[in-house]
Amino acid sequence: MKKLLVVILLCITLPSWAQKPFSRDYWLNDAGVPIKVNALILDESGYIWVGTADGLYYFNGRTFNKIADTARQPITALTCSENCIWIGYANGNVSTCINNTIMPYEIFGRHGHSTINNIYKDKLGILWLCTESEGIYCVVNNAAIVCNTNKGLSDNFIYAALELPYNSLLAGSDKGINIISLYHHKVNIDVITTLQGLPDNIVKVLKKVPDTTQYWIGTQQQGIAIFDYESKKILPYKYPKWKWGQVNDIEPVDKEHAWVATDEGYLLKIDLQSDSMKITQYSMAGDKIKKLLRDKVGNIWCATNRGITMVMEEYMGYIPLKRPFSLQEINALASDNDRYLWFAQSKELYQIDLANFNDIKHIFTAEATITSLHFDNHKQLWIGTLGKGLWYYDRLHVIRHITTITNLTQGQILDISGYRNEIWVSTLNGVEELVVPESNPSDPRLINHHSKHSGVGSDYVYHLYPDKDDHMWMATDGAGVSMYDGREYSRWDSSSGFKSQVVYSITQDAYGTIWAGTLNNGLFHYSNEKWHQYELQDGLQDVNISAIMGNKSGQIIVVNKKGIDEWYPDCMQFRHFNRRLDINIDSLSVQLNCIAKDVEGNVFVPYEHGIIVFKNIFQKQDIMPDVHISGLSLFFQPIEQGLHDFSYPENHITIKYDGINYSNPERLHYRYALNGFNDSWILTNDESVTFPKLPPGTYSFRVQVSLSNNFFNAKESSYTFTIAAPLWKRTWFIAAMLLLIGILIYYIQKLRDRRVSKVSLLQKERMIFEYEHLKSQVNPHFLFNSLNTLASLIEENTETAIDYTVHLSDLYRNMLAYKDKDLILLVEEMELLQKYLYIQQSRFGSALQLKVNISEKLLMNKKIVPLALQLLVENAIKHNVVSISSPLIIYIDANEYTIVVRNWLQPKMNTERGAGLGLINIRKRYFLLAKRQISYGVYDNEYIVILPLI
Amino acid sequence: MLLRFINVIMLALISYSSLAQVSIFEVSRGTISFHSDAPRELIFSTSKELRGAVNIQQKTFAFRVNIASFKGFNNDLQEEHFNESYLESTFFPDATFSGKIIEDIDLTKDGEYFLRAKGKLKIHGLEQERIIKAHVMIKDNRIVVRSDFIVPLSDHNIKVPRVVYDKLSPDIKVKIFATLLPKRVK
Repeated sequence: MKKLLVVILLCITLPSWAQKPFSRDYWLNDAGVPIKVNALILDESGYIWVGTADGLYYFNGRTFNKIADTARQPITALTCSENCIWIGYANGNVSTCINNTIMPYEIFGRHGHSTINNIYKDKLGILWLCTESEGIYCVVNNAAIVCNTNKGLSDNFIYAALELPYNSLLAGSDKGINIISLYHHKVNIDVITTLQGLPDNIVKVLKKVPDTTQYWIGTQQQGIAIFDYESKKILPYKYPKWKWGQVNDIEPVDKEHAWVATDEGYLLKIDLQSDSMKITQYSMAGDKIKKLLRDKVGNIWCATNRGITMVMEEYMGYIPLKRPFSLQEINALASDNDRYLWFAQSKELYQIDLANFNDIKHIFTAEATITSLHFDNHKQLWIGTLGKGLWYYDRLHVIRHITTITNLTQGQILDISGYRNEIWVSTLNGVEELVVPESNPSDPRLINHHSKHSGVGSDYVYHLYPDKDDHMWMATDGAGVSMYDGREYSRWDSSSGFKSQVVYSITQDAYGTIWAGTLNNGLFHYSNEKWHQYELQDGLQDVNISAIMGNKSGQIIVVNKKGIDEWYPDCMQFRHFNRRLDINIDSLSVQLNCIAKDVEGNVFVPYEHGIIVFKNIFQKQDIMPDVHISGLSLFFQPIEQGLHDFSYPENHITIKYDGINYSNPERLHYRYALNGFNDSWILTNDESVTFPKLPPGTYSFRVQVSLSNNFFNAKESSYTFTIAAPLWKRTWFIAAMLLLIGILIYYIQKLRDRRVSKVSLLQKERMIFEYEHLKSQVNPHFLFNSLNTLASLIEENTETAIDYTVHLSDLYRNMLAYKDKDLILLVEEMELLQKYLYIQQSRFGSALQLKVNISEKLLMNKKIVPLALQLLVENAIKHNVVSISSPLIIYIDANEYTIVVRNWLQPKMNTERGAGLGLINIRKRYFLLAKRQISYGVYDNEYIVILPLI
Repeated sequence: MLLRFINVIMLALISYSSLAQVSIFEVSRGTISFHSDAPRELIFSTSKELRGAVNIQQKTFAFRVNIASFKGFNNDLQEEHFNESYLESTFFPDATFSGKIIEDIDLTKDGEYFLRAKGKLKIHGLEQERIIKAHVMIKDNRIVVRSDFIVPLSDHNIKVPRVVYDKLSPDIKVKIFATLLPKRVK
């Protein structure tokens, strides 16, 4: 009955016994107001995206940034595909987020607004929406096709969907899982419920088991199971009765491991063994864990009701210890490679059962302070004391003082180590090499004494480390590292390239490299027959190293004053553990080499609340930070990302970048280079850089980020942009301008040529006209008639004759005067015409009449080709009958633009033959001078000539 | 003796045929009670006016209770506050729960089952998707349902003034007991 009660009590207390893992809570806002987180994803750049009841956030390891969202709806699902975040809301809407801008995504063909439980984008680019009461939607190009109970789905409440091989989809619903496959445009749905062996009908989570065709199933009531797609069966894994509540998420790590989150606040680590599941439980006290996420540095992120919590259990755990454990007094730690961890505190020796941390067993009280513990190959414990020599504790729990070796009886022991059947003991007077007879292990015999005299650098050895080849490495005080390979000694001290005098500890890593931790000179490793040093600038937190230990997967755990550094050989970086991690690690033991390793490779380091366990890292962890160019500004004004071309005055550019890291985000170091401006790398801790007054050119901005000043294999982000040359410096512009100037010169030249030719033509025409005119004026008829008239006038009236002669001579003088001019005033022409008319009227009398109607203003302002009117009047006289019975009346009228000369047509029977050149000549002159046309002809029995006025 | 035997046979036949026909069961007697266990006050209230029906073929259900029908408060003022300040029963007169039964169980067969009922729980006008466990006994054409579950006030936007924080539990425990009989065909 009592036993039963104990069993019952144990059963009841088991879940509550779960340990809280090393974890750190993050609040999404500075005020520490809880925000319910519903979705967590990791994007391609490395940001964690957090979908909450209060909108969308992203996280870089240091700060949360909220994305402005007009939807103001709780976010219930997130997925990421090709730099685009897809968002599902509680009200059924869907949005996308690209470059930190949320845009609603319209879906046609959907009827209903039920909550989106899950959103998922497959390899073909199809968007799948799992809804609360509408089944599954398959969305391509904004158009939705529904799959619901009408098409054979077992239930319309869908929690999760997952891509299966061969165009199929796996969907978890309230009524089991559905395998939806598409054959020849026909949907085929297979349903698997409890009737087919499913543990529970409500399937909340579906996840792929990596590298298999098996799938994790998380249920509402019955825990987890694995579904094999090939056999369409639930695999018969055995596991204890499910007592952790509704499964909310599963995060597979690899083929054998997964993390499970439950509604009751348990985080479970699942190890798949051949036919059973080993479940390790961790309690997250009071938090509902909605979603899980595993980042690349090995953290498990839990979405809770309050915010997000980072769990470090994958690489680091702890053994909580209560009194009598005391960090100040602990001197030595050892693992018996079984299930116990042993530690010595001043004179006391204790044993911890790793299966039950609460059980600290006191083993033995020594006569002096215990300084070192060593388990030999037979799992027998050797105990070194300060002043009371060497002790031996065997499997039969018998303690013996080794008194057979005089040097050791009262010896001050610094360290004990050994290999095969040998025990090496370091004392203040050198190192004793003992052999342990198998028949009587408690009676070791001294076979060798190693000291300064025999070839060790110093008599004072802090640490003895046998490597895989059974070479004994010795960390000496004052003489660097010494090594004994069974025949001879090798020494490395300041004279042979080993920079540190005092070496505290030595270890060998999983690859066989020897490492040494020193006082004030950091860490060394020996490769290619040379020692290489790591110091502060290589990422160590402190150079005074008290203990180092290599684990099984290649990492080196380095304990120093400021915390613990863990060397990640793949990344060539240290991961740091210190009080700033906010996981309650404040102080570590200052004792040298107070560190232990078990057979699995876990490394144990004591701290104030117990013992930290550094686990082997078999699942790849990349602690190298990522970097992302997060913003661009032009003259401090933010501009859209994706711009690459800037004009000439846009030469003040600020580039913001963001380091993303979830191991040690506080230790990010950046370096950048602006290729095209300056190719050298510039180290900085700033997260933005401004380039003012960049000359035109093409630049490539590169930024790298690291946890130390070592940028080997560092992640890089780059941004290429061009600042255009000014207009006047661009080749095409210069070419165009040259061409334009050429064309201009060509045209000017052509114009000039044309003007010159026009002038010469005009001159030629004028000469022809003059010639013709003179010819007409010295025309024998004219002369003959004029002289006849003159002769008769002389007889009749001498006065008049004189007047006539004066007019005639005036006429000729004017003709000569105007012959060189291109244009003359109208008034001058009229004067000349009057003189000509006087001469003609003297002959014809009233038979020739001229009626001029031209305003004074026009006479004084307008110009005309010289002798044009005279020629027209002359032509009229020449071609028409002039007699008293039918007098020739010539009308001359003018307006602003033209002058019109007309007369009634009364042609002579026998016309004087003119050369006919007069009118043509006038026309040419007008054309050459002003490009104006003259017109003439017979209209309504009138001969009309219209000349333009200029 | 023979008569009794015939009677039994007849009854069995009738019940069998009615079972085959009738898939809807209605609540004939149903009580719902809640209790709030706060540091300074214990409130217990019951309503006998639980209404509802279960379709045992389709395995769907719907339940409803009138908020004002809850009786048995510690005092009249408390009842008044319950109706007017907290649940605003004039605006939201009913609390409902309707949905489906998850388990693949043949409810037409007699037996004792532990089921999960999943659906929308609507209190104070606010719906919440809930999975509620129920113990169901089916025997002789009669279904007896027992269930207890928790209603967090915050789920239904029921605001509690700071002064009564220690008089009202944020999580209200609700108990249901109902007997369902086949729906009479008119």
